[in-house]
Amino acid sequence: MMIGHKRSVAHMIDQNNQLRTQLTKENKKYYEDLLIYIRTAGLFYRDEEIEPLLLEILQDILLAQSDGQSAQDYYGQDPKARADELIQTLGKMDFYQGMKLFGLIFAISSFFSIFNGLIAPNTSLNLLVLLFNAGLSAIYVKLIFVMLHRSIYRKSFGRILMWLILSAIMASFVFVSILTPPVWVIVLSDRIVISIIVLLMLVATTVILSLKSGNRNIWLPTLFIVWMFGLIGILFHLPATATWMTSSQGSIVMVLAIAFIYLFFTFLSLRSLKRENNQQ
Amino acid sequence: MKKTQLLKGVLEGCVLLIVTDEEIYGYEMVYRLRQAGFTDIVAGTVYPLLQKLEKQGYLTSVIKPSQEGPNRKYYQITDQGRQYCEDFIIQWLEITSHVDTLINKERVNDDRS
Repeated sequence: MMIGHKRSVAHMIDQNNQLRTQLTKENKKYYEDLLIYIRTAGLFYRDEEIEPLLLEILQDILLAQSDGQSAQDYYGQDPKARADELIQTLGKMDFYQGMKLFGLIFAISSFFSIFNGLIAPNTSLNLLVLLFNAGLSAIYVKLIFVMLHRSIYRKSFGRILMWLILSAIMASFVFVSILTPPVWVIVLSDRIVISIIVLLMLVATTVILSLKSGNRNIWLPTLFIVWMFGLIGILFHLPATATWMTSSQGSIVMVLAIAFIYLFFTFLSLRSLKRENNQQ
Repeated sequence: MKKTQLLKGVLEGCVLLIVTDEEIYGYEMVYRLRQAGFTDIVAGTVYPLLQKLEKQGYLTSVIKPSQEGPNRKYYQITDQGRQYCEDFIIQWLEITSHVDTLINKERVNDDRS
């Protein structure tokens, strides 16, 4: 039953994406501001409640548009105040749904933490870092929501401030991995490390390839980077290549390879973003 | 005095009155309210009302295909909503008669002086 429920939310988001293309330029701006403002109102509002509302409003704005009314004529001069009224009527998640959301954040954050920890030549994993990173990720997501939410109906939101805060959080991930005391460290054999890397690569590939086409294109560059770093990780832990990888010649090749991977990743990301924009 | 303050309490009753006769979707509701004379009404005020009334159990909704094609959310009144409507009408008539009396008295006084 949950699956059917979820699918219908995904279906509504899909339908919303398609219908939005029928809006005039002005109405599109008006509606999309409203959409982002409501979607980012909080982490704990339920998609099952928000998405039907957003779709209903969009369908009605389209009707108004075909009757010669602008979105502003129809929905009101002060969309922020009207949206705030609407947000006040929304219910929050129950405890179980909240835990599921945190579980998802924990899983994604741990994926990258484990991956990051294992592609280096070492073979130990600090479990405390996983926990701290999950907590940081939750704060990170919440902050992005708050910043997006606040920036929509404010003309000059400090963009520099926004980037400073985001960079500080990114830096905090690095500090966590350096400064966390080695309390819950597990040491793994090369064989287990390689197995975990291969497993994570397979999980990432399956998850990303099973996404809908639009989302899949956005995530493909990430898949590319996961594969490249996975490969480097495996080379570090294979007895046949490990010695060469840590030699000075291997290190130089590695640095160049990583630089190239990042460049290619940026290129792929920009291309897929551009393609997304052109479709809209 | 701000017009909206007086309006807000009354609007809930009006929304229920409109939906009493037939099921209706959001756009139609805004259209009907404007037709009834509430020409300043914007949809941004109506959706929170519909949402609130549905949560309180005065309305329910069904998703079904509309005349124009796509599936839409249609609002229907519940028994509880009908009761609310009846109470609203009685209270409204009482209030308006009191207010009318006061307005008329003031007018008579004005005419005398």
